[in-house]
Amino acid sequence: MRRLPIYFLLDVSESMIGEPIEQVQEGIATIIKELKTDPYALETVWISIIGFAGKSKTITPLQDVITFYPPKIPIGSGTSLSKGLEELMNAIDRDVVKTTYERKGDWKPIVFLFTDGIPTDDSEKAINRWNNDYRGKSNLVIISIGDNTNLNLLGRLSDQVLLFNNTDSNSYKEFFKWVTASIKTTSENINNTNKEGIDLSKSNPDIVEKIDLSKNHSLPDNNFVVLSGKCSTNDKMYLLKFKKALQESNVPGFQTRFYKVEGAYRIDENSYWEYSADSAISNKISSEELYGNPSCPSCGNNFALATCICGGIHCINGDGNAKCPWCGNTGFYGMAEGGFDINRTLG
Amino acid sequence: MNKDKEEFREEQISIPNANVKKEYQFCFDSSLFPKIQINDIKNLDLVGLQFDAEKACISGVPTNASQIDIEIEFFHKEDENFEIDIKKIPFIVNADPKDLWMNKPSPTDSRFPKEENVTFSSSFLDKKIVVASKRGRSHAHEGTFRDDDFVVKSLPDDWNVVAVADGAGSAKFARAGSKFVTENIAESFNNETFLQNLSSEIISYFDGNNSEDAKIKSKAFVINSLYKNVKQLNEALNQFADSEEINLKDLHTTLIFVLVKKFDFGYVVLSFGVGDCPINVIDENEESVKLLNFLDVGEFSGGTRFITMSDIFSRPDMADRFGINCFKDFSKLFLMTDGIYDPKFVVESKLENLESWKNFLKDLDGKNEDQIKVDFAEDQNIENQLSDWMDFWSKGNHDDRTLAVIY
Repeated sequence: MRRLPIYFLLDVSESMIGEPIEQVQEGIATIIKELKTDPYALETVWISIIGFAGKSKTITPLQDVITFYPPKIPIGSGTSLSKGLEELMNAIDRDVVKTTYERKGDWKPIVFLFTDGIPTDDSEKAINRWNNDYRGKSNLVIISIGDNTNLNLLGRLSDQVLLFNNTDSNSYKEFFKWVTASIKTTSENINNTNKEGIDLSKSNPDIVEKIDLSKNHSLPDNNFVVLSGKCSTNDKMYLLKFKKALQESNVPGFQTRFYKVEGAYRIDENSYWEYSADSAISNKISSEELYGNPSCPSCGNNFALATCICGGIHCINGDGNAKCPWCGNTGFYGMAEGGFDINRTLG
Repeated sequence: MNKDKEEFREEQISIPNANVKKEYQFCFDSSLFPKIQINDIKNLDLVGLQFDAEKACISGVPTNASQIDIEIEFFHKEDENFEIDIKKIPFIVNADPKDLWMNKPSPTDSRFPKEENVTFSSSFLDKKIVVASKRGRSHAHEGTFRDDDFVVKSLPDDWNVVAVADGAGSAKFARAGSKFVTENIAESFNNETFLQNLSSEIISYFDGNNSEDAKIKSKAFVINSLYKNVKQLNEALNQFADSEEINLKDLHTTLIFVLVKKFDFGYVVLSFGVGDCPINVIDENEESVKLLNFLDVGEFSGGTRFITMSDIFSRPDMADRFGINCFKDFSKLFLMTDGIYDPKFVVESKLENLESWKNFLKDLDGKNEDQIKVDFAEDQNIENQLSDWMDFWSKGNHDDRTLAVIY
């Protein structure tokens, strides 16, 4: 039996926390649920999920639709596209069976790469390896989740770069419906015509739009600021996500940038470190640019954004003495008057 | 206490998927959360399963395919109030792939209609032949036609011909292509004078007393004669496409055929093949197997050639497509489409492997999942037996199936 291997290479960097990751998690489950009712897919499609943030790991090794169980999608710090590509290429080397005189090989693998940010490392070497040895032997479809990605860079990996406008949960639903339909048609076509290649289903251009790669695209500014904190009550890690917004400043016609809180989310610390870059967190952002202070997602303390002199972010209940869960220092906390810099994760 | 409960609630528990109508059992590993007791699991009844709290096991035979959320009710073992919490996780019951395939009739009012399943049996020289051709699951699922076809015909001068063709899945009217080529090639040999000449050249070719030169001349005559008929078939296809106002590529089809006659010195089998369908002969003691044609499997998987492509005639391997073989006797001669060869032999190399053929013969003899036997000895009902045998289930193989056996 010839398999149709499908890889999902997911950007699980911190900016994905909150709605995007929940929607992707649900989306993958929906894809599987749908494929389980399609006889072609059920007998042909094999799926693997690879996550990349600062580091990359295989979340679900290649397996058939029958055995597939929706995994928990992790979150990490950093966006190392090169590590993700390396993990993918190693997985293809390991999994995909080549046709020989003695053995019938798999169909060309299909890769869906979902990313929502700009690589935080140098991707040159991985891109070259991909283009030299893998591009011709697989079908890569790149989906930019939102417009905060480097389209020029992504366009060097594949001719199929699509922009997904992740405006609300409905658009996510429609998007994953489109992915599912594309997988179904592809598996049906290779079964009936023996022709390799991906058949992307028609999509609603408001949701999924094909990027014109002949044009040069400008590099976007960062849309999100994500800070990692620790609960001072039970030591559990969480992430605080802020979204960029602009407002009229005192100078007419000149806008100031600020970041408005989107939410505070609990994370699984073990998997967070497994997917995070080793490099020290060095990006700084001024607290003056941050608007809003949500309550702690772990213990419910009133403020999740308090900073210790050690630089660590943790939660506090209000003014007064509190112990920092990062360094163990006890200090008095009040509202800051001037702006101070807060460590920012790699995104 | 809260911490233990919290951890259990957040723990990612993957429960293996169940399969509909198949016995299922899964037991939670309680050593992973020693302080938690699972009280009950709600919603399992939706798919016909039960939960045994004492053993912490889910078991039963799922009645229907579905993806549901099950609610695990649990409490802390040290909690005197047995305060119950709920953890929701997905639970999947897979459908039986066989249940997902539909069987829609093909539309008889469309162009070039074709019967979905055909069987045939008759005598063949001093032997017999049985053939079955079946519409594949993928065609049945979509209500489209069988693209395979075959023709068996007795010819003058005691020759017989069998032709089998597999229309390309990507070609719109492949069903018409395969029908046209099998009928046309068989009919093209229906010429007494030609066949008498052919017979005398064959005798000359296999006459041990003849000079090499004479043999080469006879061989050239035989191959050229077959070539001419194949070439005229390609031209006839062009005309057929023109007259039907369709593109030639819409008729893409493979073709294999054998012309067989029994001489004093044995059975002479003249063969031709283009595409990926094999012709095999098993000797009378079933101790050796011979593949009479080469398969066009292409550089990349799925690539094949068709009789509808005129470029096959200009390629250097054209002469190798023809075979002249003589067998003192043989047990069986097979012609098949890839709908049989793919699931039963998988790769080309296995077609020349005696072990694979022995297994295939055992399979025909009833050593298969459904225990369906094709009885070549007591063969009153052999057409239907072969047809039933051809319903074998093979994951991922849903092509049309055609198998012809001379025995």
